[in-house]
Amino acid sequence: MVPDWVIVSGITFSYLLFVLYVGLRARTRETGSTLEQYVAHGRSLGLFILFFIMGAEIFSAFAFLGGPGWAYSQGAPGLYIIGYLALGLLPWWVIGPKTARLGKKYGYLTQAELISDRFKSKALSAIIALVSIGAFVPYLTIQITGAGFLFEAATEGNIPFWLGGFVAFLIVTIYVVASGLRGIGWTAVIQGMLMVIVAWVIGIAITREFYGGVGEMFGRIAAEAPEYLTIPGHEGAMSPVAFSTAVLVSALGFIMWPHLFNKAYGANSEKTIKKTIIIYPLYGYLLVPLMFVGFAGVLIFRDEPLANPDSVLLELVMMSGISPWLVGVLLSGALAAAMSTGANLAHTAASIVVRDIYVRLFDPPASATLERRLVWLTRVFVVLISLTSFVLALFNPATLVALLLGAYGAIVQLLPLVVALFFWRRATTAGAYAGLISGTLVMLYYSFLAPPLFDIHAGILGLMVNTALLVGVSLATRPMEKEHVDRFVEDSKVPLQKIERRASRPAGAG
Amino acid sequence: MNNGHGERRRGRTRRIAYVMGAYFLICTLALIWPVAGLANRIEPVVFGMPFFFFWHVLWVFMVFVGCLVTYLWEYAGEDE
Repeated sequence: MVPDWVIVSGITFSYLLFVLYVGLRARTRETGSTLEQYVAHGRSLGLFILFFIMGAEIFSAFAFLGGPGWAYSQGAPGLYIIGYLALGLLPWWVIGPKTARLGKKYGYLTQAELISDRFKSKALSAIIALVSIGAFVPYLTIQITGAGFLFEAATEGNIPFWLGGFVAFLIVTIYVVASGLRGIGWTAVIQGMLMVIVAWVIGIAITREFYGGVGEMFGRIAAEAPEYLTIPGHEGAMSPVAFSTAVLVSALGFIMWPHLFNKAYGANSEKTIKKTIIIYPLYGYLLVPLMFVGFAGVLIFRDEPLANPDSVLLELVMMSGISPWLVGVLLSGALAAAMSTGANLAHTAASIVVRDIYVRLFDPPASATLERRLVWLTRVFVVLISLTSFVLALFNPATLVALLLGAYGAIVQLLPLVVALFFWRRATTAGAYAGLISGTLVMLYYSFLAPPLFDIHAGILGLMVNTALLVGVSLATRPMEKEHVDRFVEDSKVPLQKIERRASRPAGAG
Repeated sequence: MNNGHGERRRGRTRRIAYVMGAYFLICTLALIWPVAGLANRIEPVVFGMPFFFFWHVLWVFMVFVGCLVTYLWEYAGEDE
C-alpha cells in the first residue's frame, strides 16, 4: 500500500511539472531581444491573461493561510480583507489608463520612472526603488515560507520545509527567467482557475463535514461564541476605528504597488484595464469560502487553541480525513497561490533594480547591445532576489510580518505624489521630497515606536502629514516650468489609442 | 470631430464621473464606520451568513455592478 504522503506529493509534483511546461512553452522567439519585450510583454497583454495575472498576484499564500487564520483567531475583523478587495482597485479606473497613456507616450516601464521624471529627480527614482524592493523581498519570503509550510504539513513532514520551498521557487525562477511576463501570464491562468476551484471545494467540504453546512455553522457560533461575528471581534481584537482605517489604507494603498504599474504598461488598451477592474471585486468571492474555513475553526479548536492560527485550514483539511488524492489537488491550489504571487514579485523587483537603479543612476547610452545586456541583468536579478528571499525564509523570523506591514505603509506614501502628478501642476520637487519623507517617518514611528493615535492606522496618519507637507512645501517653493508639468496633466488625458509610440526610447531620460 | 460634438462628449464624460464617483463613494462609506456600524450585527441572518458577513458579500457585488455600469456607459455608442 502506497503511503498517503507519496500520493499527495506525486500529484503535487505532477502539477508543478505541468506549470513548468506551460511557463516554458510560452517562450517565443522575440522574448529576450529587448527589455521592453521581457518586462512589459511588448505592451500587448490580452484581457484573459491580464485578469489572471492580477488575480494570481493578489491571492498569495496569505489567502490560504493568513486569511482563514485571522477569521479563526479574531473573527469579524478578518472581513476587512473582503472590504478592501472590493474597493482597492476602484481608483485605478482613473489612474490606470493615465499611467498606460504616459507609459506609451514616453516609454516608461516602471512606477519610479514616471514619478521621478515628473519631479525631475534621479535620487527620487532610487529611493522609490529601494522602498519597493524593501516591500517585495519580505513579501516574497512569505510566499516561500508558505510553500514550504504547505508541503511539510501535507506530506506529514516527509518533505521538509526547506525542500518544499526550494522546489516551488526553483520552478518559478526558471519560467520567469526563460519567458518573462508571458510565462507568468499562461501559468497564472491555470493557477488562478485552480485556486478558485480549490477555495470553494475546501470551504464547502469543511463546513459540511464538521457542522453540516454554512448556516448551521454560523448558527452554532452565534449561540456559543457570538463575539466572533461582529466588530470588535474576539477579545476586542479590532476597534471600529482600527477596522475602518485599515480598510481605507489598504483601499488607497492598493493601487500603489509597483507591479500594478508594470501591468498597466503591458496592457494593450484602456478597455482591457477597465474590464479587469470590473471583474476584480469578484475575486473577493474567492476569499468568502476561505473565511468560512477560518470560522469553522473557532468552535473546533476552542478548548485547545492552535499554536499558529495560520495553520487552521491545513489542520482542518488533515482532520477531516479526505482522500490523499484530493489533498494533493488542494495542496497544488494553495501552492499555486504562493507561486504565482512569487513569480510576479520576483519579476517586478528585478525590473525595478535594473530600470530604476542601474539605468537611472548610470545612464548607459542606448544601443541594441545594451538592451540585450539589460534583459540579462533582469534575469540575474530574478535569480538573486529569489535566492535572497529563500535564505530569509529559512530563518523565518516572525518580524517579517512586521517588516511587510511597514513596507506596505511606505508604499501607501506614494499616493499623494501620483495624484499630484496627474492632477496638480503646482506640486514641486521639494514638496514631493518633504511629503514622502515625512509621511514615511510618521508611519514608521506609529508602527514601531508608539501606539497609533486614536487607533488610526499608522499608514493613514503618515498619509495626512504627507499630503499636508506636499501641498505646503510645494506652495512655498517656486513652481516647476509650465511646459514640463503640462506634459503630465495634459498628455495623460489623451486616450491610449490616439497616442503614437515613441520610435526609439532613450534608456535613461523619459 | 467638430467642436459641438467634442463639447457634448466632454459634458457626458463629466456627468459619468460625477454620478459614478458618488456611487462608489457610497460603496466606500458602506464599508467603514459610522455606516458599517449599522450593519455590525448578527441578525438578520441572510443565506446562512451573519448580517455583518453578508454585508461584505453584498458590497462586493454592488461594486462589481457599479464598475459594469460605468464601463457600459462610458463606451456606449462606440463600436469595438
